[in-house]
Amino acid sequence: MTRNKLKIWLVSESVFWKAQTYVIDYAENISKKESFTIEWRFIPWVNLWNELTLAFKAKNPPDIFEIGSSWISTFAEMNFLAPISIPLREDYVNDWTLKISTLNNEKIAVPWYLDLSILVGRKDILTESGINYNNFNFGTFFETCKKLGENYLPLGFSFRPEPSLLHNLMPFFWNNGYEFPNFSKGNFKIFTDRNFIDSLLYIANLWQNSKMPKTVAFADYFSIQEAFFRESGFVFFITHWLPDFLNFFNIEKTSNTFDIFDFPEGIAGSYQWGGGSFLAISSLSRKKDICYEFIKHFISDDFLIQKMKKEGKFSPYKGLYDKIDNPNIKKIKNLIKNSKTYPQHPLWFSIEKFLYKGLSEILWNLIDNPVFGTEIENIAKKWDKNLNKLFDIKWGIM
Amino acid sequence: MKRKSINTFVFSMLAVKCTKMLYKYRKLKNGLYNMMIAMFKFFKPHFSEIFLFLNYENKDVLKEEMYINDKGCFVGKNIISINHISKKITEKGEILYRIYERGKDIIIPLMSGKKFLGIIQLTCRDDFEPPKSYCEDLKIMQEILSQGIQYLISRIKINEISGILKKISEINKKFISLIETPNMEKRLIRILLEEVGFDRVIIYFFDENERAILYVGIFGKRKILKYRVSQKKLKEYIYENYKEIPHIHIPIEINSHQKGGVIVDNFLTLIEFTDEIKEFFLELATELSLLFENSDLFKNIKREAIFDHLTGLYRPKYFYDRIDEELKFLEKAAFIYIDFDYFKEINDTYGHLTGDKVLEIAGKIIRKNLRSTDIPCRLGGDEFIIFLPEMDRQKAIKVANRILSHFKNHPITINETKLNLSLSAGISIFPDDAKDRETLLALADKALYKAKEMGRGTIFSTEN
Repeated sequence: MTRNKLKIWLVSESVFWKAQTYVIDYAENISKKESFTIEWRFIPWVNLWNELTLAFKAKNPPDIFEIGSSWISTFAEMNFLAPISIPLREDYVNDWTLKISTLNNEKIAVPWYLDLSILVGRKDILTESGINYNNFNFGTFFETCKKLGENYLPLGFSFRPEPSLLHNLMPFFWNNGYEFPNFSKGNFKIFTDRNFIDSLLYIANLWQNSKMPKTVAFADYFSIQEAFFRESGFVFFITHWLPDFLNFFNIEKTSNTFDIFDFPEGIAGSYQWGGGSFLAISSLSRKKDICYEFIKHFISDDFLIQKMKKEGKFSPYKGLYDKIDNPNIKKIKNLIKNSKTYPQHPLWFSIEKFLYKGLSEILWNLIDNPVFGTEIENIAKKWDKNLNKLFDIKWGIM
Repeated sequence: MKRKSINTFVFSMLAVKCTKMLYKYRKLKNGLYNMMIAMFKFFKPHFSEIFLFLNYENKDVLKEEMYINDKGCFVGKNIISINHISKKITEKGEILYRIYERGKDIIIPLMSGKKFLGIIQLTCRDDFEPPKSYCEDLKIMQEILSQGIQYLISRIKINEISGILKKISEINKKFISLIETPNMEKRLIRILLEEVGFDRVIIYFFDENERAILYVGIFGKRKILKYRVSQKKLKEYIYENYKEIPHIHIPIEINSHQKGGVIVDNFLTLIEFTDEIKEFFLELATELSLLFENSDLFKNIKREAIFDHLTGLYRPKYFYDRIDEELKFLEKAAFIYIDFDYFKEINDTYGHLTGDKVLEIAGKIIRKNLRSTDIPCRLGGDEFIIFLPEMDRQKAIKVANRILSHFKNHPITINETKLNLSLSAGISIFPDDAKDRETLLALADKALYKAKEMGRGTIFSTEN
């Protein structure tokens, strides 16, 4: 008897796909009970977008696949996503998760795990230097970075033009009261918005006063991360992946060295950037019923707790957090609750690219002299113009 | 029991055997299968799995081409990121023995000089501990296999190119079939979206009012949308706004004049076009220009075959064919045969140019007094026949009357000369008077002569 074959594509940052054994084992157990087999494919984030779009264009996409939260609108625009027509759990920790997974009142993607921009600090240095803040505001964070930069280590982040730059810095803009414009209205300002400029100047001053070496500006994100967690390079680090070695289940191991902080509070509050991973079903799949069953298992607490333990990925569902008694996990839950995400727009992939490229260029030019002069103003105007130009030619896009 | 090691010489012999297989079986998959099977047979006592990951696209990822284990040989599906592989492997080409929580393996990098081509990963069986010299011994094998894989990668490139050429020829066939299709641009957009897979395809044409009409299709959407923008703005957008977006723009030239263009872009996904896609589309571009030129030519020829150049009304051949078709499905219809009274005098008095002008204006007046479903035709000279579907005798008389009255009440002015024109009309009705086209036309013609006999400027229908 021929068994149904389900094609599943998931993200794997691991060197070899075998590192995903727990996912495979879990799924194979389900498939044994049902009448189907699974054809797996594991792809790193950096290539998933390309591989998925090319597969759809070649009319050979997977049945179930993982996508980034900010991709949903674009994929929906290109009709890649099948509506999820069965009820699934909706006990979300925050409110934007539901919003971005639905289109015209139809669910088109299922939240799987969440990413956050998290401010991690060296607890040992903070204690040694007598800094006792549990949480920072813009002012105290600036003073702390300045003091620690002079006496210990600098703040750690680079200006490389890549999505991480936007994810990591966005909380500074939001907390300072900045909100994205309504893209449909046209002729909008982002880089030349007064509030955005103030936040940029704050970041540039932070950079300069925390004595970050200029060579860090274009350093690889991973090398900064490695330097931070090896306790050699930086005093603070903003990350949106909690790497394995910051194992939050092992409080003994981490509590002496690292601590998680809310993002510095500004006039608008304290928010983190939130994104994450969603599961979707291909609009071309002929096995949607099996896909639904499968996804039900994949978003069960039973599976998500493994994902949290093995990969440090956080559940978007409340249920799981009630089952874990761990102060760090509770803290993460609050950060998720207090997070904001990007606006949903079919052109977000292009918008995001322009945003991080523009941010990178402006910050690079502000390093030596954090003043909003004519030169910086011209760069800001250029990037606003570039963004608006994108909307001049959005023919065919709703 | 610990298994014995194998020395350098045996490894190099194996490598030569594997490389020969890659050369011998020029069909890529056969070569790979055979190479992997040979390796697995040889290594089976020591290793439980062999994986081959290739970097043939020279990007920052490796594609798993194939793997083999005790259960069989499989085509690989996964991708791994080079960033996560030790630089010792990717840059220095060092063979690495790794012990990790799930087991032990050996990674053999495949190198062409400093260029990293991929890896062969061998998973050790639990009871196999490679001796210290093992990785050193594998070096000759690494070198020979690297050469074989380099050859394989070049073959893959050649295969890709021949695939592209095949696809161009397939798409071109589809293009040719479009020449006679109405809404050619819409069909063309669908072909380019579905067959080539661009995010968006835009076909634009310039009109006489300095504007451009854009037809836009998005991948995955059925609807093709139509926009109008100024030519000036469009040109500015193409050269300015597209700078950061992967796109290809080709102008459509007909008789050496730019009439429009085609823009294909990856506006939503921002995926850069590969050199192959660029080459592919530029090849297609020539075909596209030809397609538009031929389509234009075809439309002109078709127009001339269907329409009378002077009056803009249908030609008899087209008219007869249409009527024969229409009569199969209609329950009733009317024919009005019209001609000018004393038209010869106009030609004799004012010349043929004035006569032609009168006919041109008459064509417009007749068309203006009809419904869009009616079919008017110039039979020749000053004779016209009109087919009116779903019309009875009384209504047909009214239509004929309207046309005749128009001429009677509105003299035509040509070169400051006022011409008072008179027409006569004869009517026949389907199926009351006859059921076939020839008889109905003959009856309408007869009725026309009757009208002329009755004193011209009048209408006669077979029944009255």
